[in-house]
Amino acid sequence: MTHLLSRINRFTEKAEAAMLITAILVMMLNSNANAFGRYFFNQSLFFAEELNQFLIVSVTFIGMAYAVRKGRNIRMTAFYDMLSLRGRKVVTLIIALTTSLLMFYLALQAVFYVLELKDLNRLSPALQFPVYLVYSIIPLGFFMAGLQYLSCFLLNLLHKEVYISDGLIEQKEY
Amino acid sequence: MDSLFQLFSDAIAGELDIYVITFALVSVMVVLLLLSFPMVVPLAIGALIGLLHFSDVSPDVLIQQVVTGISPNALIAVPMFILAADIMTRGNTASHLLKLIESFVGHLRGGLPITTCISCTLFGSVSGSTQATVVSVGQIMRPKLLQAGYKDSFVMALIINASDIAFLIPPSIGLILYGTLANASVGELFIAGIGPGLVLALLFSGYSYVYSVIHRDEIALQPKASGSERWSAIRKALLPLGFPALIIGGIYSGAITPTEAASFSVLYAIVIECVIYRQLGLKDILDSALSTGLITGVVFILVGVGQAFSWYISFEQIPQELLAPLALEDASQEYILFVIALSFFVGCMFVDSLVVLLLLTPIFVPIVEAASIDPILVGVMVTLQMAIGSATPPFGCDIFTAIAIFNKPYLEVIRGTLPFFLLLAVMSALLIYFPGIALLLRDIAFN
Repeated sequence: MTHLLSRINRFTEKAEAAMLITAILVMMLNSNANAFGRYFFNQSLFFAEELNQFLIVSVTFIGMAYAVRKGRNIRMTAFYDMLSLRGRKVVTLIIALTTSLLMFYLALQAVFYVLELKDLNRLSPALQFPVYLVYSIIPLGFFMAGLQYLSCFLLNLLHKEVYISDGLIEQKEY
Repeated sequence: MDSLFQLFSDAIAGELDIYVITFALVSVMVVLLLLSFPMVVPLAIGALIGLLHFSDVSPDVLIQQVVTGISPNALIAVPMFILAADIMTRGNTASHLLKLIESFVGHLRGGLPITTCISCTLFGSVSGSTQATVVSVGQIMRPKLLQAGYKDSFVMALIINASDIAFLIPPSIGLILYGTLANASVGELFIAGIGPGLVLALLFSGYSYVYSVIHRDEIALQPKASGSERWSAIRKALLPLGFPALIIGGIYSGAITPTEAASFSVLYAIVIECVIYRQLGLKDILDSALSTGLITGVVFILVGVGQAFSWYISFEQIPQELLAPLALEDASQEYILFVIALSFFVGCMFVDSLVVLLLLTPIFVPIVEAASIDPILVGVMVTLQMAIGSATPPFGCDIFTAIAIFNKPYLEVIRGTLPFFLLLAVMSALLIYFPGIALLLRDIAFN
């Protein structure tokens, strides 16, 4: 069971990384193609802005989940750093659990939002693509982030060390 | 007891005094911040409490606002500039720029710290990130400065503060985000940032000179570069100098938009580092893209949730009511700018400057509009304060970057910062009383 979970975990990490890299590189190609088109052929790509918008939404939500996995969130740790190991452990447990619940709640709200878009059958103006399909990445991103915080909570509950994220153990001294 | 009961029934009916709402929101958010929750949590909780409890709005508005927040097309420039900076930090760009400056001013008294200031300014015109500047210029210059006899406290303070010039010099991620939040032209902001950035480089260079004269007994002068060394430094720096030419020249002349400049600069960085210098390969580019995706996710989720929060506070007209006692509408432009600068500065001393930008910009935008102050001037002022805050104790983020890469304790890193901080305060005052420092170039370019 643990073996299966860690394989799934590794697979999702690779998938997230691959999606991020692809999205960023496509964004770069798309922006450049558009700018070159406008410059040299006097013609912009009709879908460029829309595609970039879809990409930026994807990058934001996958990137957010990926950052949680890597323990790379912006946090203000000044007071946290002053705490004893035990204090840090308690605070980390509270933070991980609360944040994971918040992420799941946001994922649920995002599901409602996406379902609403589906009901409205909104198509993107240029590409005529169903918007809800792209925006499905939003609940997915929040859900993955929630899972990461939950696994961080469980790791801290089961082990002695302070886990900042899955696979990242806090060093006692900086 | 009755009044307490009244308070609760008001709260349930959603008819609370604006101060009580604000106080409740601010206290919850501050407690979460201090407990070291990830920054997105206080913002999201603040927005949710506002939306769910005090206003009668469906919570999925929050998601809709997050999407609205990250949708403006100008924001595409942010990941593109981050990617370009990441590629260049892995490659040779910084060291070529640095050698160019060093070959011309390195031998003068104070030459090495002045080289550091000018290199940070130049590297800032290539990359938009202060932390990238601390890493790439700082790592090369610190050993040289130490060897020449400069004290480490001076050296680290110099590197941290000079790197903040990068925040003002285009491309600047702070200016792009401000432009999107305040609905101001990013192109105009970029051009307006140049003047203050240069004045700041001048002030820091002046201090470096004075410092070197005072400590002249401990500091060794550097040998002067020969003509052929200078020529070779110029040739090597020509390609990296193409960045500012492309970005500033392109935007100044109106030929390209900031977003186009951003995507061109990625392409340029790849061509230089992979094709011409052959310093980087495909794997480096993929690593850069991944790291860019991660940083973009961290920043943009804050931008999105910040938009939800600011939608709520403007829906409730909180800024207008909150700032009413200060009577800012009738105040002079100088006084308003001073209040804005002070609020941003104090905020950035404690919290990540991005979060301060997201929270305070929507509060001040209505005042700025009502008093008809140029939003471009305000944007430059705000960015300057963000830069100062990032380098100022207690919690400036560049200080922590320096602790991490120089491996020095906190107190030692901040010991020499006071003179720089005073110069930055002088810079803020100059900007308030001589707005032309920022606006002159903008007026020439755009009007």
